[in-house]
Amino acid sequence: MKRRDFLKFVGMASSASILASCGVEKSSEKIIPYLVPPDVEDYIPGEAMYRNTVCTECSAGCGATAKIIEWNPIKLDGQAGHPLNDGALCMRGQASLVRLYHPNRLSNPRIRKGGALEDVSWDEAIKFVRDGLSKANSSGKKSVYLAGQTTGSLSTLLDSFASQSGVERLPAYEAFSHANLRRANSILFNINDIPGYKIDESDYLLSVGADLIETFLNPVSNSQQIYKARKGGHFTWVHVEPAISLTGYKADERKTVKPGGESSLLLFLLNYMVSNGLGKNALSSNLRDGLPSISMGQAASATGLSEDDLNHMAQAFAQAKHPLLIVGGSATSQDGGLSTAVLAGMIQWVSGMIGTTVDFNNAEGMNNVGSLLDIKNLADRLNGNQIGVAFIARTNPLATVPASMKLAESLGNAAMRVVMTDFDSELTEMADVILPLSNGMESWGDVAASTAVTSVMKPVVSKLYDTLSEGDILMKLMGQAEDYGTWLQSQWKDVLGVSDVDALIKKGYADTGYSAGNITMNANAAQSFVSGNKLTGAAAAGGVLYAVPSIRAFDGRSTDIPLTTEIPDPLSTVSYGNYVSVSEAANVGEVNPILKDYPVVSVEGKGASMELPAFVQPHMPENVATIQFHQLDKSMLTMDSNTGELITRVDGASVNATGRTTKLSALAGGFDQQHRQLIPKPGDHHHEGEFEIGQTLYPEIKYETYRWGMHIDLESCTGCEACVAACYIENNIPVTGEDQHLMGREMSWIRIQPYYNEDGTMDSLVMMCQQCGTAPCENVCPVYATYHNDEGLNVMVYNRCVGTRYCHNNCPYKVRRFNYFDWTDEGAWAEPMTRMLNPDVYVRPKGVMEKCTFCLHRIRSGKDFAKDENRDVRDGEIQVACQQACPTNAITFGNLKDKNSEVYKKSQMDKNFKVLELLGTNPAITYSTKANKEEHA
Amino acid sequence: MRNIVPILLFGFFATMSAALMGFGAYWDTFEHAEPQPIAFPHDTHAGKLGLECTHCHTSVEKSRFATVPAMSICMSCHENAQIDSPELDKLKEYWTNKEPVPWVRIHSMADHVYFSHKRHIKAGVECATCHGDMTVVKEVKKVRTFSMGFCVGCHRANNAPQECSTCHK
Amino acid sequence: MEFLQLNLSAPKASDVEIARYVVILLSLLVVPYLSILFGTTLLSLGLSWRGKTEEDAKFTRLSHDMADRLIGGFGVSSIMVLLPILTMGISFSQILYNTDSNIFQYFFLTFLIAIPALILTNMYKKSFETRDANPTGHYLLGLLALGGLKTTIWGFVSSVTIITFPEKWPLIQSLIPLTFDWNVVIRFLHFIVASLAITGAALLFFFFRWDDGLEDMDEGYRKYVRNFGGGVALGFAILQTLFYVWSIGTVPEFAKSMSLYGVGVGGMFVLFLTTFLLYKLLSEGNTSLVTPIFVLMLGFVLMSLVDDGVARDNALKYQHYALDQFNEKREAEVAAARAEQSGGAVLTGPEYGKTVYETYCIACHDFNNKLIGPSYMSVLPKYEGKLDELTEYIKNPVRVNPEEYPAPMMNTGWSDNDAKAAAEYLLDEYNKRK
Repeated sequence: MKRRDFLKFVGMASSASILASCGVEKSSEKIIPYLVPPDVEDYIPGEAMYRNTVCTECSAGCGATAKIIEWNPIKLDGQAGHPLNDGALCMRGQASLVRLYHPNRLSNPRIRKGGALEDVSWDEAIKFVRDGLSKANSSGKKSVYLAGQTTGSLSTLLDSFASQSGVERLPAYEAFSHANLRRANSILFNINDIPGYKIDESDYLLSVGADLIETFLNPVSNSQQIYKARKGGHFTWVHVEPAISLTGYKADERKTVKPGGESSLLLFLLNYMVSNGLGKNALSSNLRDGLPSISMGQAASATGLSEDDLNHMAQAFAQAKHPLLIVGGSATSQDGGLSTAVLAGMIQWVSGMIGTTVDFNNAEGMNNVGSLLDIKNLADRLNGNQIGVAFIARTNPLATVPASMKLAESLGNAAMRVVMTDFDSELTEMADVILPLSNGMESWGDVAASTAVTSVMKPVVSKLYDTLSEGDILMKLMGQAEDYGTWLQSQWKDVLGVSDVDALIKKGYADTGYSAGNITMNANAAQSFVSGNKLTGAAAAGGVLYAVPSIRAFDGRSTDIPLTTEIPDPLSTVSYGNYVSVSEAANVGEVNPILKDYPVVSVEGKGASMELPAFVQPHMPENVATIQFHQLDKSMLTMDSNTGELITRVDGASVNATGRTTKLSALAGGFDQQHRQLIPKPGDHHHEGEFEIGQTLYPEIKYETYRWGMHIDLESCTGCEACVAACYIENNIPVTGEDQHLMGREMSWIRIQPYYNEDGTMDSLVMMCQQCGTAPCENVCPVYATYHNDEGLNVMVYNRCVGTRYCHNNCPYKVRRFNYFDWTDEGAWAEPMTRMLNPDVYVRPKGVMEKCTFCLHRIRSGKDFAKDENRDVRDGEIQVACQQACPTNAITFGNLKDKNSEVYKKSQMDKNFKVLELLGTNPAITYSTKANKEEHA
Repeated sequence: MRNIVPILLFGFFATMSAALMGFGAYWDTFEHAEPQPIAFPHDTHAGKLGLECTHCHTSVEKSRFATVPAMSICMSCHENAQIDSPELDKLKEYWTNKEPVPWVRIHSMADHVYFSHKRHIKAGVECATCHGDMTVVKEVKKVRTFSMGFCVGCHRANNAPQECSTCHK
Repeated sequence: MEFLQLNLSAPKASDVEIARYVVILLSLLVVPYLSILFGTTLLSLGLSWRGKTEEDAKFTRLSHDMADRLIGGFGVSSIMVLLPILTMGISFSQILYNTDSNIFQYFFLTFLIAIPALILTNMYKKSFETRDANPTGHYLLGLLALGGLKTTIWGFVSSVTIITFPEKWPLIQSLIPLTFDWNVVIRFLHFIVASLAITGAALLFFFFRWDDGLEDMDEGYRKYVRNFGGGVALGFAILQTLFYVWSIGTVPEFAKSMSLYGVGVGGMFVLFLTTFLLYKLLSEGNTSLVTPIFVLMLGFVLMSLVDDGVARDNALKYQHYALDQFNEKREAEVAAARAEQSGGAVLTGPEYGKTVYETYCIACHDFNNKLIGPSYMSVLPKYEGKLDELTEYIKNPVRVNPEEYPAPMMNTGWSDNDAKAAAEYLLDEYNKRK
């Protein structure tokens, strides 16, 4: 070989090797130890700690417990034993954890300088506000403070701030202020508040218009009390409403009343009781005479109910030992709503509910809540340039006030607008100073769960951003050096008489010992009202559109949380997109649920018009339509000029098809069981073993100690979807967005599938992976990524899955979900949402199938705990996330091999059924429904 | 045409050595751990001084994670120990400006793996089984690949649960 | 095999150092020779079978010449194979002293299998004379020899490979599961392919260069041998590279280091030169290149063995530490014992105690102020005049009040003498300072 060739070869060889070794720069993981180990007694690295806090998603004040792993709260659940919500949170409460970690949260104070908002320090912002205040005072302008419902010590602090700095504290603004109910109670019982309704102590509940399950006052405690009452045995619940709602379906009986006919119904009931001398408290003679009479026929025609319905209802109501009448929602937020409320109050007084099932000691604490009249008055003062600094905290009136008030323009006239909130909105766009509020879990505070119970909270996580709680802001504005936490603890000592703060926080709430005293009806006030007002309103002519508060967004405040929009509505299963629910009679056009094509309708009312896709709601009465409140065009809203109630009933609304169709992400493919008997009719129910178990490739499995199973009681299930939100957060399920839902790619592991029956009832089927004994999905997996383990679970081994999706294809229950994208890259877990991830559950990457695993990680830590005490797992020791979240204990989980376990007993009730049992999949979940119970009972 | 074969031969062997260097580059980048910020000698502490593992790795019997000791445990001895070595100066410097020592992670499991130290300690597994006899080691090094084969082999040998859901999250 | 383990005295650090190089040299003896034996038997058997079927004398002649020249007598084989395997077994068990790898057992088994294999190979070599008389006997012997050699190679390869996988030691108790381990299969295939390559090169070398080549080779036969030898060597050399790279790639994580890959690339370069020369030989036919080819081929074998050695050292680095520590402790005991026996100046008394204090105790104790441990002035009053109690405490300390002194006093594991000397010094010092 010549020297030149040799040199050439050596050069080539060495260059190749150097080239290959220039790899990526080193990125090895680091372990950062503590400087000093935290001396928190129940802290164990990597294990969960539990701290009490309060859910601040709405002003109900439910007690909550935050599960904290490595100092990050990763799950919020109701605080067990709390008098208001005893261990459960509503769907918005479960999802409110996202509000803490959401990347769009406001992170530092900002001041508008020359049109643009600039980040400033807190001192600078506070000084700017105080200058504004002094400037306003000197120029004779009044500064005002408008906040959402404020209770507990914050309210006292707000009063002292108002008096000290000459700021006028306006009545609190809540979109659903129940002004008519409170006006009626102040007329009859001179208490400007709404009582607590003790449903669990009543044996006959008549609810008129009040959406108890969705949003009325405290949906969680309503559902819990309904469950307790039903468990008590003899409890009937009749719900009367003009349109279709989830509450209506979940009641024992649902009656449709003509829009505006509620007052006639109540008048008939009152007359019936008075004329037959029923009830405990007689009316005074002149009140009785002044009462307009209403014949059976008049009542029937005004309400649209049949005569024997009325009769049957009146008798049942009169004969009930502890009847309870709850009026609200669409019944009172309409013209003439006040007379309905007054009539209801009189019935409550006559039938002796006051003091028993209607309890003013445990009232809602809404006495300092104003109404739209106060907003109107504020708007006028603003237009008259009398307002200096306008503080707006924890509320966004611009989003919910009728457009006719032109609040936005008038707010422009204030000298300075100081907005205290945690997310951007149209309010922050016109704000001069934005003071970001800390999340409930980052701040001290107390909230009145009711006038008798105050829930207390202490920060459970260190602040994510440079934010302050409203209490701290007020202390700074008052120039106090002390921070809100210390002031609050001293406040608790004097007001609640509690010395040991830690014990109080551990308990989570304190009894204020409030008592409204002995309440009697003010006869002559009632008398003057009855004589002065026309009690029964005229039924609306033409079409009526109801704007109902949504279970997912309440008055629109929860739309900040993407999870609440991702979870579909329990009735229409629509997740993204505005829509209006119309009746079949409106024949708006052809619906194709599979391709998600929905007809577009134009809705006119009160001079405004909207074009929306229409969802044909089965059983919806003719020419009645409903829309989610936050999706309504605000110019269709009006105000009751007398009480300031927000009128959410749009009379003379017309819904007519436009012939066009549009895409609407309604996740359910259809709403009828197509004779598949998913939920068998009473009577033709099949028994255990009637269907032989299907074949499977794998050997027969013998379960030694555990055979995990579940029982779901569809009668107690209210369809509130708290379980769906809890499952999303517990198992790190990504929020994917509208375009994925339009393609039918939903990610939730549990879905509430509504099935509408001809007889006007609806069954919502809670559907998740059935952990089938002979699972059709196991045989088709080419890589053994899903198999049946020896404890009865269909386990998904995520890192083996190669994404053929054949298992999804083979699953008759359609409960498997596929990760089309790597949702971490797609931003579903944008910083700091990664801190919300549950470390015990693997975040599935792209191309992996996922499904409910009966919270395998909870089973594993339960067994781990039991193994430490070398015993088997006791019944009820392991709670799966949906079971823990369910307010009505509809879901029971446990070991089917343990004969005296709760789930075994429930699974043996002979009126149980399994979904699609005829396919031979031998599922581990047994269901039972009301229909079966009746036939069984 | 005649001298094409040497070029082919050379091309073949060049690619082979490139593959080898590729293995090397991969190992150097991903598997070859960086040097530790402080060269902590396990053999002195666990060997000569006879300290128990749990003295520093406090939560190994209580939780899934053994946890690297908090700096206060190091300082409980080294605050006034007389030994002078450059490594201890580094430790004191970290401690004075209140900055935790960023140890380089040597043993790590994949995200989808559930491994609990507590369960293994309670089952009577010695630390040395997986980490090697630390009383003799100067610089912490992986002595086991922690591959699935290693774990399943041990589970089979000691009839521990071999169910997929035991370790797969 | 335990009897060997027990009687084997613990290797000194220097012994281990030597053992590591001895092992590589011994395998340099075993590996090429065993490969040539196996390759020759295989090729000659193939050729003689072909010779029988195609009635062409050339094949039978080559197979006969091959067997004659390349297969050494039983004496030579036993020196080149049996002895090295046994010594390797012993030196490995020294390297892996007190680990549960029972490595010697595997080598011993390979040694036992090798004996019949070598005998059979020699019988096969002699069977050429009677090949025409009873051909079946000839082929049968060939196959048996081949089987024997293959099992020996498999035994040898699995014994050597298992050393690089310490995590598998507790799990594998006998040779059987070991041989079907995936890593062993790769290295066995590499060995087989390498052996054919070396046999090709050896064929060329022994036919054309060794004591100035075979005499009566006519031109046709010479050309055939050259092409056959060169072709086999070139083909299998290239194939061998794939297995070589594959086996380096599957080395466990903790056995990897940059030098492992460096030596690998060096090996690639040597192999490239070999194949280049082989190509030159085949195309130009000048047999003078035969020697460099054979030397380079052996050079490559040496480099791959060095590579295995590097991988082994990385994997056993932690085991070597353990041995160093073990030896240090033992040497300390031996020195102490020898000091006692020889009656030499056994170091006792307070002066020696002072040195002991200065080397160990001073780290945590001081006379006047509290460091990590309590100050002696505050502790020693308890032990005034009670020397053996203090000595006892020093030998195995007990925690008196853990709150004030979180760091535990370590049991120093000293001999009684050191503890006593230290105690004496402390008490003297205490009395002086009192």
